[in-house]
Amino acid sequence: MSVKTTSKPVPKKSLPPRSKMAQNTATGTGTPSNLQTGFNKVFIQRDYSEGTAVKFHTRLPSELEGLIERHAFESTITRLNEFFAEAEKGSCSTYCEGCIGCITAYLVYMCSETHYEKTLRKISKFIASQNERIYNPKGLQMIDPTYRGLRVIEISILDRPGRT
Amino acid sequence: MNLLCCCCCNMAPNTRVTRKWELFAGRNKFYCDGLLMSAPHTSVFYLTCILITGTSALFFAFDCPFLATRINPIIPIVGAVLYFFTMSSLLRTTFTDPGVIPRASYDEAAYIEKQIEVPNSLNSPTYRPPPRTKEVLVKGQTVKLKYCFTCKIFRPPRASHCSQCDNCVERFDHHCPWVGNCVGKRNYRFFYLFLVSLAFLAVFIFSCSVTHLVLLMKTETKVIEVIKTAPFTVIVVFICFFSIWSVIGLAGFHTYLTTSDQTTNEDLKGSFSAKGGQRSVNPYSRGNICLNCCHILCGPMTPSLIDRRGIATDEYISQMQQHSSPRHPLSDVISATHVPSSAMITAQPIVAASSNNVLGIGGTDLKQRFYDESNASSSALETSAHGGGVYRPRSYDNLQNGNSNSLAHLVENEIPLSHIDVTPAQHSQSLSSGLNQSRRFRHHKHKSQQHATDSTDEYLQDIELADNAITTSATNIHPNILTMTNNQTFDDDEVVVVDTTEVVAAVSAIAATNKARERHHLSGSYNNLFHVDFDSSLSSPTTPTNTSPLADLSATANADFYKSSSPDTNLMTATLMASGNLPAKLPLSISQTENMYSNVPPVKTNNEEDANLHVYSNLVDDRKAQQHTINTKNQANVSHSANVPLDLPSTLLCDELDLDDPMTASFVAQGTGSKKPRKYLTRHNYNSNVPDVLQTPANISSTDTAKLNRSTPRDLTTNRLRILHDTTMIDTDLDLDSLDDVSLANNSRVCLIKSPPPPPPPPTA
Repeated sequence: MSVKTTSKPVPKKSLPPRSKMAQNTATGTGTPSNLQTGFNKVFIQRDYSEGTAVKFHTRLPSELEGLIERHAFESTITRLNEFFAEAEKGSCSTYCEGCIGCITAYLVYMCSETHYEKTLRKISKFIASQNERIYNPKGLQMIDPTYRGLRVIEISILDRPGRT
Repeated sequence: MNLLCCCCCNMAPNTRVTRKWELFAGRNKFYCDGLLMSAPHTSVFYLTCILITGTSALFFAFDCPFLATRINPIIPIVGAVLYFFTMSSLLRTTFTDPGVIPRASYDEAAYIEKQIEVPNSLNSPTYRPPPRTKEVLVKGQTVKLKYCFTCKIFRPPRASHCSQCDNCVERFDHHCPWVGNCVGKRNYRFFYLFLVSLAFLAVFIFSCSVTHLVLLMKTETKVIEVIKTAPFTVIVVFICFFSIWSVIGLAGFHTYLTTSDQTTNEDLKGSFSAKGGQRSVNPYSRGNICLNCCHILCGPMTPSLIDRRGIATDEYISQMQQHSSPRHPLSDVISATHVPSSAMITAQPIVAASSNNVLGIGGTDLKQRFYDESNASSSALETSAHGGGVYRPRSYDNLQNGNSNSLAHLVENEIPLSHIDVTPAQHSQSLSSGLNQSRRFRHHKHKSQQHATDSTDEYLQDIELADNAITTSATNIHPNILTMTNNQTFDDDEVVVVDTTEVVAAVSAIAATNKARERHHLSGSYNNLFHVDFDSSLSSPTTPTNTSPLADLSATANADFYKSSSPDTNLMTATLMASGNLPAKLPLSISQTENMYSNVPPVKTNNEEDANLHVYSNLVDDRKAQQHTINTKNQANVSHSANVPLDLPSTLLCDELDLDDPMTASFVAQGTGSKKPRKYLTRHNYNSNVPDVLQTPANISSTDTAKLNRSTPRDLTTNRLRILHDTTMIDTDLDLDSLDDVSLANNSRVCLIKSPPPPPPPPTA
């Protein structure tokens, strides 16, 4: 008879540090762990000064003060804003695309992507390259805002003990 | 946007993945595996469709032949084009994502909360912080961004939260019941096109029908005759006449809105009207009518932000949930429960997904319960990704079950307490001395035939061991039990043999797991499960106590020995009753799966033949038996503290473990007094949970015997029914009036009906 005695419950806080734990699994470490290798997340919010167009604040948040150079961060965000502006720009081509789509009952979009979607792909590639070149070496990971509903740019600080 | 959806979305039937739409937090309905979405209530939309289609059909059937011959055959063609354009716009409006803003992930919400300083600490879950607004400058204009407590975001400008769909929608125009969806940024152009084309269609049909009637009037002199000749045309004329005003009115109104780039919402609120004395200029307008129109109607369309058809990975689910660990809650139970003086064999968490976990129970070996272990890592208990307790439960769809939406999956993932083994060391002598009562459970959902085959041998072995243990006892019940045992046939349904000695661990596990669940901030639907009526008095009548060991044994045997669909049940019943002089009525049927999530009222029928039928009738009898055992135990073992056996009836150990079994909870509750269960459910200290649980029977005699005596079988039934009803996934007993934004945004249970209604009516199943 195999008996495994549990003499004490595994010591853990009654309310586990949720953000830490969430971050733990959010990194994709499928295995649960109570280890302290959580990380913080910084969220860059949207800048609505130009209207409802997608634009993010370029100010370096305080949590990232020492981790990355200001100009590098600002250039990344500025470039991202330019991408989004291009995506949302109402040019002749986009208007024509809209009209054609309307006429064909948008069946045309079964075959091709909208201009916006193409730009989002470019953004995704850009972010991946930025991550690889700049952010990951500094222990940061920038998450594509597409995955956050275009609300925030999420920057994860890896290997930092998480705080609730 | 793909209109031809249904034929295109044939999933491979064997691989079932969870897509994000299944875990969507709002109330939208999804079709075609997430391709289409609409508002929750689409009845008016059907009416719209019927009106348009019906009127057009009448037009085509009765007017077009006449007009095509008399005037021009192009009339039906134009009519057909208009009709198809109208219907396609309508369908696009209905089934397009209006621009739903996905809810904030947990980290994001926490980050925002941190930044907003709240002076008072949030001690109470129902504490409502002051409404939060953030002022931003939009092109020089001050715009207040409001914080949405449901979605946990600061709403972008022009976004609004739709209460019907329970989403924040970008550039929210209005929620249109006729269209059956919100009208927002992404589908405004379709809505506008629908209005315009419907206006044209209505005008066209109206004019054609009137022309028809006028032409008829030239040949016929009397109006009555004309009406008799073409009755349906008259009907069409009437319908069109009355609908034209509203449709044209709406189309004109929205044309105005489009040209000035406002939303209906803003117009209603007068945000940018000049009436307020030059209050504000619309900062979003481009200043030019044409530019506004072009941008709104033909401008680039953002893709859907909610990624309906994305696959819900564990990472995604964990991000959206408030608790993080995908561990199986039983691991919490295992690690948390602490039986001081008994060795507890802890099962491997189901995450291990191994069918080879062999547990020892008083000498017998148990196989891990077989169920759908492909969901091992995600448990029904870990609840939905819609944020636990935050969002209105959308029935079982929101369950984070990897593979299915089935209700049965709710209990499939429950860890059976049968895994938890307690050596009989602490068991009272009379019971533990070899009387390893075995209770068989039927698991109506077996994983595979192979598993069954593999397990059958184990079970047979278990049964034999149990039988051997039983035979050591001196009672003469046992031969009958053995007979029963040997006659037990194993069919495809796996049967888990559980020892009564596990009950101690079972109850503690239940308590701890309840605590674990609570700690994990499960969804509102599961919070209902927590809300067991601890204060309800147990309903089974006290039975005359029989302290003889024989009666004890027989009572225990009664309580714990079930057969499934076996004609031997009655034989055993008779035998036991005869020999044990049992006052309590034996359970009449087998607890197959005590499914908390069903509205099926307990059926008090004998011999439920269908092994797969969920039978709940034994609950009533279980209670009585339980009470009887409690009473007998209390009389006998008041002095024992930690080892008074909690010979809970089998329903507690049913294979599909309902850790929120109200019987269990109520039993625990009655043991610890009225308030205590609540307390230790909220207590964070696992260490003290189990001893409390184990000590509950000691308190029973002192405080709650009166309580035990109070109930009647009928109360039990209705109580039980009510609890079932309360905790049913589909039809949770929520007091939605008490829900507000704050309550939705946190784990508050303000909406849960906390106090039991005094004689609860039987729930409508």
